[in-house]
Amino acid sequence: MAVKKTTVKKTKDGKVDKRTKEGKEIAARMAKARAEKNSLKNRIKRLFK
Amino acid sequence: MNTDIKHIAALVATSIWADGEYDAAEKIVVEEIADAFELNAEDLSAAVEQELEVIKPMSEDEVNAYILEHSAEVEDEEAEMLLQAVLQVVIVDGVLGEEEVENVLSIASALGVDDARAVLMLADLVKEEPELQIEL
Repeated sequence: MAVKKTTVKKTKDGKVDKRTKEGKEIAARMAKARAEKNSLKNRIKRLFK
Repeated sequence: MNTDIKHIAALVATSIWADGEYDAAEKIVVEEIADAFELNAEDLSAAVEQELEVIKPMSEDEVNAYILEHSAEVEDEEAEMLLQAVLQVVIVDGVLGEEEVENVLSIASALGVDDARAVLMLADLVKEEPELQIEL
């Protein structure tokens, strides 16, 4: 089996400051909402179903 | 989690590096990861910030070698959990495009998670996030 080379790159957005102040606030609110609904924990639980 | 916090922090930091932002949203996700992995949030945040400083001067090739080095230290049974954490970071800006998917699949490969499984995990995530913008 061929070994795949890992090639993580900075996204083109990662090379510039892509978020406006408003965009950053929205991103933070959405991150908080995900955390409050245990988004990551729930997806991890489904791995072990 | 049995995987050392340093390796968890390294992979989380790599995802943050790729996306180019380390703001309030990313910090909230790091806390969420700490909670999910039953780690001390301050310890994980400090470890992520330390690894971000390590990564900052690296070239893309060096970052990829760094990912392989740290992925090799992740406990096999925890690889998919780490990948879920990476996904949580990747979607923090509300947009999922080809570059993010390529990065996710590269990190999945480094962690020994095959593409099909990684794609299913992505699909599961997208299903849960109706506001996530898919950039075709």
